[in-house]
Amino acid sequence: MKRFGWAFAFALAATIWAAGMVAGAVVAQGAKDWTEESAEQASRPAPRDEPRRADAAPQAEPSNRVVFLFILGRNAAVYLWLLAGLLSAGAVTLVVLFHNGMQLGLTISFARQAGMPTGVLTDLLLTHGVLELGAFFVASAVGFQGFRLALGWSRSRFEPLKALRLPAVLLFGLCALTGAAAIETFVTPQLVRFHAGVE
Amino acid sequence: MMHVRDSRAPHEVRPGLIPAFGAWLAGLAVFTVLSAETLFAAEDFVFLIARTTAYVTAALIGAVMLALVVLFGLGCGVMLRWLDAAANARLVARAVSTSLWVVTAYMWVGVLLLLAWPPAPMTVEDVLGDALPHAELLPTQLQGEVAFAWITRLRYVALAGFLALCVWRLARHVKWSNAVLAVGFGAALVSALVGGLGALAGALPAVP
Repeated sequence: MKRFGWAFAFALAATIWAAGMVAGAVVAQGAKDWTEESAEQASRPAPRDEPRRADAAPQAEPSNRVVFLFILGRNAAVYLWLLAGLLSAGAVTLVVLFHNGMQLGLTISFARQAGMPTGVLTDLLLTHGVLELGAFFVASAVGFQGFRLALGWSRSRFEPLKALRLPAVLLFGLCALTGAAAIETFVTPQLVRFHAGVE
Repeated sequence: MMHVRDSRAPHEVRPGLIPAFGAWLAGLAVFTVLSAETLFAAEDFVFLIARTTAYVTAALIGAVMLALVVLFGLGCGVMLRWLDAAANARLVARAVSTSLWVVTAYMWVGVLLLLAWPPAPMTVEDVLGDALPHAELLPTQLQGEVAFAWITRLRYVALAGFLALCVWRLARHVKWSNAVLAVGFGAALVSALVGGLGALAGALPAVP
């Protein structure tokens, strides 16, 4: 496990994630083209907006603590699924990573199509995204070692697992994702208000 | 007394899993193509997105299934070792691989059901019309289709068959009680992982 190739695994994770982002952007562009075409043809009945029911209870805004736990929980689940590549020759890592990139690609593309400036988008995403994505890539780099384990490249049963330093990986993930969730909960809304006020 | 921890490298106990999982994966691929290409057959971008989502989800299911089967096998092995049963990694791998054929058969039965009763293609109105405010009802509507309804019912049979066959295969080499405990622990481990990650991902309603 000395020639473990952490840098290669990290780069592979970033590449797959970026491919997912490109796929998401392509799908979003296709959706835009289709919407414009169908608007020109005007053959489609517009989706009807349901009138708000008078007796519907007003939705209470979730507290910061609830939002923080929600974001942390979701990201922790993704982190653990990325590590599950260890049990599946890296297959779970590959698919979850691509899917995650695709979702962000769709989100960014739809935001751009809605007219959100690149600077604002960068401010909103990068502040927490650096920590979050860094953690995901580290988990992916570990998850991809499942392929190596499955091929049985190492003859020792426990040495490969020890080299992965799983407790350290889990601790790092918990710290990084907690930081990212805190930024997303407490800092990003302030940035949204700032940009809304300036523009 | 043999131990689960033996000197064999992982590749020596791996091959039994490949045919069973490969056949299951092939069944999943055929099942996905059949259901996505019939349900979402309409010429519309909404259905292109639906088909793409179906294929990505199928890939996710395939990968997660492999991880869960391996985790189940690890759980069984750890429990057998703790019970000090006369078992080794090869025995557990064989038992899980053989039992997986039940799930593979279930998948191919699903394919046959889809061929026998292909679901009616959805229309744009189903998705964007009146159904939109009631999108949560769509899975219920799908279960109204004969094939999907039977597939839903048969999953419990497949699961029970998988666990029973696993116990039976293990019990040929270890005590019945140990085999039952090992399979139970493996199943509990998988349930805990799936349930725990599901609860983690959907944490909002659970938080006061």
